Amino acid sequence: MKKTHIAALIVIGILIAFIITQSSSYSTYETFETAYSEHSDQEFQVVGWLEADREMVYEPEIDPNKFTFWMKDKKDVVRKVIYYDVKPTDFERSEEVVAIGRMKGDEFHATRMLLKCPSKYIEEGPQIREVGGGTKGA
Amino acid sequence: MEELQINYIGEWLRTGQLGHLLTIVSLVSALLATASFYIATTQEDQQLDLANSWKRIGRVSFGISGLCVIGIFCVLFYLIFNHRFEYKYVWQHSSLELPVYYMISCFWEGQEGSFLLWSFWTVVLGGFLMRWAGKWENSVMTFVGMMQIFLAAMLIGIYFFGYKVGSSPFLLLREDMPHLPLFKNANYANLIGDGNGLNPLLQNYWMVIHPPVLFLGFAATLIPFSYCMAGLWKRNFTDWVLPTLRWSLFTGALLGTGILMGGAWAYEALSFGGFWAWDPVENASLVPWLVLIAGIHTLLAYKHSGHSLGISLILISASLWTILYSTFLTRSGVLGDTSVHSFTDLGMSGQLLFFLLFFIALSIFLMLKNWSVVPKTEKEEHLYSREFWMFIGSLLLSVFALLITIDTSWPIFNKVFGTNRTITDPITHYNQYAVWFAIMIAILSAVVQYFRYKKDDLGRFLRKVALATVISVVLTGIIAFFGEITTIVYILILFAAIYVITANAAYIFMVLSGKIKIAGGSVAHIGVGLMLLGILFSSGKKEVISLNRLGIKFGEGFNEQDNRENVLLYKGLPIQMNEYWVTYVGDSISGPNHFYEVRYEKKKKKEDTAEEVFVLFPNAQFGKDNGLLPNPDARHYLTKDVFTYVSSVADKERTDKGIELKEIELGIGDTALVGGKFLILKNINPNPVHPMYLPLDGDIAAGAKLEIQTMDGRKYEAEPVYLIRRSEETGFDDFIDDLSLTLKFDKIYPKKGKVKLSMIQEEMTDFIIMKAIVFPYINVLWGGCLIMVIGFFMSIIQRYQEGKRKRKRKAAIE
Repeated sequence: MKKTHIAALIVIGILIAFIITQSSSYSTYETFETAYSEHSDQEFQVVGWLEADREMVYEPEIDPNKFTFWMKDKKDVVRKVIYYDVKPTDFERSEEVVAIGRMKGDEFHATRMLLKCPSKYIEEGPQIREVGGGTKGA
Repeated sequence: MEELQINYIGEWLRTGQLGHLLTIVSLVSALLATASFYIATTQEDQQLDLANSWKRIGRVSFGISGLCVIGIFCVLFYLIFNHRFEYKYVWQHSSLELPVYYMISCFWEGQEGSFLLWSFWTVVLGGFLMRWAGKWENSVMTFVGMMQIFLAAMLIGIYFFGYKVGSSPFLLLREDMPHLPLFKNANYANLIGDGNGLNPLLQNYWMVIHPPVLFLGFAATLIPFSYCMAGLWKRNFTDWVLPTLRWSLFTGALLGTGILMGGAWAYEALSFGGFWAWDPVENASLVPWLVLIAGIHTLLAYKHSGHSLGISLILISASLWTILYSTFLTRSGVLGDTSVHSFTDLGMSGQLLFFLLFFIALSIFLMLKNWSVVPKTEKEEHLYSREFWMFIGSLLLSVFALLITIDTSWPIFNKVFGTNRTITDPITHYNQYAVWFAIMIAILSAVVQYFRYKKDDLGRFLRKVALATVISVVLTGIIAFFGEITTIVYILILFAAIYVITANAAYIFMVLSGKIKIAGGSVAHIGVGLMLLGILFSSGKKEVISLNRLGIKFGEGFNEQDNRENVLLYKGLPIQMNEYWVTYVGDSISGPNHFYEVRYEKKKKKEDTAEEVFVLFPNAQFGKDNGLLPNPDARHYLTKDVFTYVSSVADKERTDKGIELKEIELGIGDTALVGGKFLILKNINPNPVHPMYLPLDGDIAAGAKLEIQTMDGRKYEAEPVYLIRRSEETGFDDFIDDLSLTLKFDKIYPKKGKVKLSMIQEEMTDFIIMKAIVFPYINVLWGGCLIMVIGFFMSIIQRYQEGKRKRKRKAAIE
């Protein structure tokens, strides 16, 4: 066997070892019921929808880094979510919410969020130009 | 079903038809060019005349294909320029108010336009090859032609046996969305008010220059690939190394520049708070570059030692495979939510997959068929030889690229294998292993060149490398001590970065005796070292200075409080952030941008005069689909950047803004919590002092001595005055400017022993919520990038002159 082959094998071995040791820093999509962990640095992603009729609290005057709302996950479980950041603008319009964080008691503490907003393009198509407005009686 | 044939009026149909015709001609002529170059290649060793006439046909048809591409560009630009919104592409990607210089960006917002750009660069590069490739022209152009076929097919938008091939940029809106009621109107073309507009993120000067460079890099990976294929096909690897090396270096330089410009754009225009976020799209451009760099190094090893040709062929081909794979990832819609900048799905995943598999299959076929003739050396590489360690370095680069590819592909694995894996925090995740690869690769690029090719003596090597090693260890110690770097990994990166810089600088002076002309490689390595240093300082030592210090307590174990990186700034009310006092001065609107004027004053205490004042204008656009899109502003210093962006603003359309009135009754010594502030009535002053109040005889006057405390512990004093003069009740208000607060003394109730006060809070509804970050030494990163690219071009020139000398020598011998 050539030295290059041995070197290649060693490097590939390192690669496999890497993937195995790394697997703890991967996570999975969870629901509220399963997003619990002993480790404080482990986070989960919960996919769900905003419960638009329940209260949403954002009081930047008191704390600009805290926003609470209610969210329903894929198993129809509704939980309060506390998001430690600025309330995203147009949040009410979001179709789907991916909250990243973990459960603490009955609340989900999110450090990051991904939002999926409906595209205006698919929704409405082109806007029609106003014609003839203001030229009446000319 | 009422299907009425409507005769539409006011559409510019002819223009679109011309464009569509050009896409078809470009495809057909690319097919012809490929076939001609193929025949010419098979004939060039037997019947040179025949081969030459086929070559001429190939050149003309490739030229026609190229002219068509330029024609398509012009037609599409003409439609965008004239705002012909009946065309879907024009409507979707432009708008009436779009300035002309951003119209060019419309080409890379959409898939069709970016394929057009790719195709454009391919024909330009093909043109260079037809002029200068010499004896390699026929074979190399065959593969360039194949690529041109695929790219042209992306734009035709024609159904073949029920399968849609490509997506035409000349599709009409009514063909795309026929169900809309708008299209019942024959004159609809004149009724469309405005286009959907260009994504504000793309309205940035970096987005005018970055995509063309990146796509030139993308297109250029084809050329070294084609040389590898041509070498295998012709079973000829003499006179092959230099042009392949030149084109690989050229591609490496451009792809590298493109990626770095992308980083600069992300830093300047996006608000991730950094230049690299390990986004799938970023990874997709980094991986081909890493693989190509690995290929360049093995190719150099082959050139000097005869080893590693096989691995070079694989790596250089793989750089095109990874380009095509990334094209598939970013355009087929599989990435979905995981990326901020992938394209929307056009239903072309099948075609994109075929595109990828075709080129992989083609290269594997040619490799298997001709592997036996790939020159190999029986002798093993010596352990103390440059080629062996270059091979190890390339292997590390490839493994790194492979790891990134695997982690970027999780959305695909999840789809194929039904798994459920995701990466929650990409930056931490990738950095975890990126640092180790960076350290190992950097150390190799510091020392490997001190080895001689073929065989070296360990003692000689150690003596040569000793000086740079000692200097680096000492420098690392000093910088780590004064820079307060304590983490082992950071110290190792610091050492690796310094080692690359000093070892390569020493190499230029000691081994090459300062001959800068042949030092391209070392210069590029120094650039890499500086980049590493810049990354280490700017990311490792970056500091969010807008930390929220409001006195809100969390329970035990809330690590989220580390996350409190946004600060609310009321208009006119300064807040301290490290050495700065920061004030939101006001906002203004210019075009689609809302500018927020933020004044930074460097001073210790609020009362001090500022040592330094600067004003930043972070701006934001309020997009139709995505809420607030911030565009940061930064104050650039030689040693650091103060970076600011707005993460949220007050809702100016709220109706209840303006004045808020609160009435309170207090006795002496009482405290009330009003509007988030504590109000304490300290005393009643029978002889009030107020700048507006001139005491007269017969006045009944009293001042309410008040103390106001904010939640964050700031204290203010105020003394509004109550006055009865000639039996008329009146008074003088007091103001606290910092809080935009007015205090009124309304009444005295002697029986109850209380007074009535009102607190008026005005204009406090105008605020911004912003984030401020200091990036130290980010200029070291950008400087390193520049030096690396310069190094690449120096090497290209060096290899070009080497080729010229060789040709001269050959001519002299003949």
